[in-house]
Amino acid sequence: MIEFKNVSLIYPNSEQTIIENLSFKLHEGEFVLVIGQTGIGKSSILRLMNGLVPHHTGGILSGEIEVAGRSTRMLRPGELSDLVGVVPQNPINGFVCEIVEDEIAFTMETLGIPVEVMRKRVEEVLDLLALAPLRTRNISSLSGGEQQRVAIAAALVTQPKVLLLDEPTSALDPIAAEEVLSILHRLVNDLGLTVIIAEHRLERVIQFVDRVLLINGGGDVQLGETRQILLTSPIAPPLVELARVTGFEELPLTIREFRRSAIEIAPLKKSASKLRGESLIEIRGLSCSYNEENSKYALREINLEIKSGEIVALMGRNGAGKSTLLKSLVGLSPVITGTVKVLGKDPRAFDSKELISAIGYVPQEPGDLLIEGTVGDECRQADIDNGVTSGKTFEILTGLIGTISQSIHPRDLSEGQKLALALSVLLSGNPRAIVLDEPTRGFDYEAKRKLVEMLKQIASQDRAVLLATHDVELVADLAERVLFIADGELISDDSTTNSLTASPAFAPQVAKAFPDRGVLTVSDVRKAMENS
Amino acid sequence: MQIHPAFFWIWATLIATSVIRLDNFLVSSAAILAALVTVRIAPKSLLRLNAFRLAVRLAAIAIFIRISVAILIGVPMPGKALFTIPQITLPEFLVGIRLGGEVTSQRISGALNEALIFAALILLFGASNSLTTPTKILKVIPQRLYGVGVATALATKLTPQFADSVMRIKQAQFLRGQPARGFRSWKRIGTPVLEETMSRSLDLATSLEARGYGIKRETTRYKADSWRSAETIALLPAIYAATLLPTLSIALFLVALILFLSALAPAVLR
Repeated sequence: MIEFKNVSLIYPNSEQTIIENLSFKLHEGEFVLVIGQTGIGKSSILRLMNGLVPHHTGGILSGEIEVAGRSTRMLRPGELSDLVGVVPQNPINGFVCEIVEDEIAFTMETLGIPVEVMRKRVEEVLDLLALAPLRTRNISSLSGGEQQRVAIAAALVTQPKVLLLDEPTSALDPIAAEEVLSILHRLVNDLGLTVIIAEHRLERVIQFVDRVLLINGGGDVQLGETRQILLTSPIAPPLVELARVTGFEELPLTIREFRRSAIEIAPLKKSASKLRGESLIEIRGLSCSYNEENSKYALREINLEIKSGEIVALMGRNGAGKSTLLKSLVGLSPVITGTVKVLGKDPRAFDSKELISAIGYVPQEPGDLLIEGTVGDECRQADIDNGVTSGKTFEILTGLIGTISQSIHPRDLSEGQKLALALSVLLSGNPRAIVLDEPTRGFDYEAKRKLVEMLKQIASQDRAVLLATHDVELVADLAERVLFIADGELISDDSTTNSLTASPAFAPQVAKAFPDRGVLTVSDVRKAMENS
Repeated sequence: MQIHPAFFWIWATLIATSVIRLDNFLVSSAAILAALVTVRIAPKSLLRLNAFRLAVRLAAIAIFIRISVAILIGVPMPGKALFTIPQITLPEFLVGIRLGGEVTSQRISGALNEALIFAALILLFGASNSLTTPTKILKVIPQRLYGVGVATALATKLTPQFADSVMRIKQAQFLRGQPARGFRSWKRIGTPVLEETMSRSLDLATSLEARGYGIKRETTRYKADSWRSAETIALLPAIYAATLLPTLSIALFLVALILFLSALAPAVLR
């Protein structure tokens, strides 16, 4: 279906080739996963498959790429739109229309497909993706998972043979992600569609895919059966890591395959948590609403206390009120009743000096905090803003991620480095609490591992860390306490072990592999095996 | 039933024509009223109120500037003196221009007339803009004008998002302990906002490219917007106003009345 013949690619103004002499063949009806570190060229490979690279982005391409026998060299991406459907990384930015139906029909309109055919096909994809009840809704009012389904429907409506998806689940909660992936799985099986997907969270997709394309960088690329690639891949989901620790003949890809091995471990007794420091955040009876008239509450009767040295994760589905709760800590939420106290004071009464020394807030887009043209200037500006000795912010940054050049533009940093820079800017104000909203979007395992280290280090400096996230594996590695929020209400506030084992949707792979053993991560299992 | 996307633009153009041609404060006021009433009675689902609020602000600023200029600067004009403000002596070579001095009723009424025309034009097109779904305009533009189409799509989609970005980044800067006021704050907000708008523009342009925009000359419409006779009837008063040659003050009054009635037409169309 897709054939790369000796393909090399280099972008203008770049000295490094993204892809070097790459040849492979993907067959019809295959579900292929593209993995590799952030920024290594996963998106480029996807975009080569429909000609967006180099037609739209620029770049020098050598070799030949054929999709169903058609060469992408001579065709504009639009001329392949009846053959290749694309779901971009941020679907909301790619939507052209406002209403679901219109958006789905858009590609057919531009291709001049007759109205009767168009109507029929819109109905088909609405049914296929269970979007019929949403057909007249405004796209911006849909949840992340629903928007992702609209994007898939819009791509499928031209009846393409190939569907390309760039990190389709990175913004979704576990339940919405599961929904999208099982739809893709069904499309491959029912329609014989060829699906190529780039994704960081392997634990979500690995069970569905047939083959894996691993990009190692420097032009080194491996394509093979999922098991064969994962056997040696530096990037692997927790389940595979677990199998490597416990020893396995055949690598398990699903929890079921793992459990068949009947390996057992002794239950892990976790040491009682250390004594906590002073109380930093106190919330009593907090209710918030964005619209007082219809009395719909974004938050309802929240009671919460967070002490220094704690790392607390805030979980829940999209739109449950996580961001509102985080924002109430910096005085940016519409409080109706109740009190919020940060260091004993209502954050709405903070002046800017008090704010930066009390709480550091990392928004969903850490780039919002950054303004200067280079990392060095950014750090110097933060030194001035926060009134600390010159060089302090950069020192904090290198303490978090090691050496880094001062002359890089913040935009050219990886997602993980950008977050570290934003954290350093805030930390130089010496706040007692750090709050992060969905910090791991677009992070690979390596970047996540570094973030865990960073945040643990921050918490050990007698600070509190609170983060909202969908990433159960991150929570298992990092947090000691988990808050669950549903429809504005705090429904559970418990230790990570208790919280993450209570519901299968929010359980990490290791906990599913060894139920009732009190283990959440691979290192927990290692400990348990050493003990027994 | 859907109103044709071009309806409000034609409506605004016709009334604007009569406002400019007749150059009469009664007509301009009627047009302003027509714009306000149209927006007030328009179906909520159609209206983008933020866009119209911006137009109202602009119109108010236009009136304010024109009147202030009329009071402060001007050539001496005959007429009844209303009041006098201190006059500043200007160098010799600026003959005929005066700063301050006597303010006459003629100067004020002339300026007011012009200001009302500005305001009427801003509000009319502000109303038609806020009453038309932006993406529908994209579909009215022929695809062979690829660049124009992409630019329209970017502008209409990104303008409202731009306002959101500014809000969000203002908040982020506040969280960094920086007050969101003054020139310096604009640099702080401007850089990230522009960067985000750039990347969003690229995403949307990529999406249009990938989805075959501009490939075919002949396009089809999923749900065609038809121009019905109701639309033509609703436009009649505006057409009349735009073509009328008024000679009597009674005719002017009539025009004013007609303009007002034409504002009600979109409601009839519903």
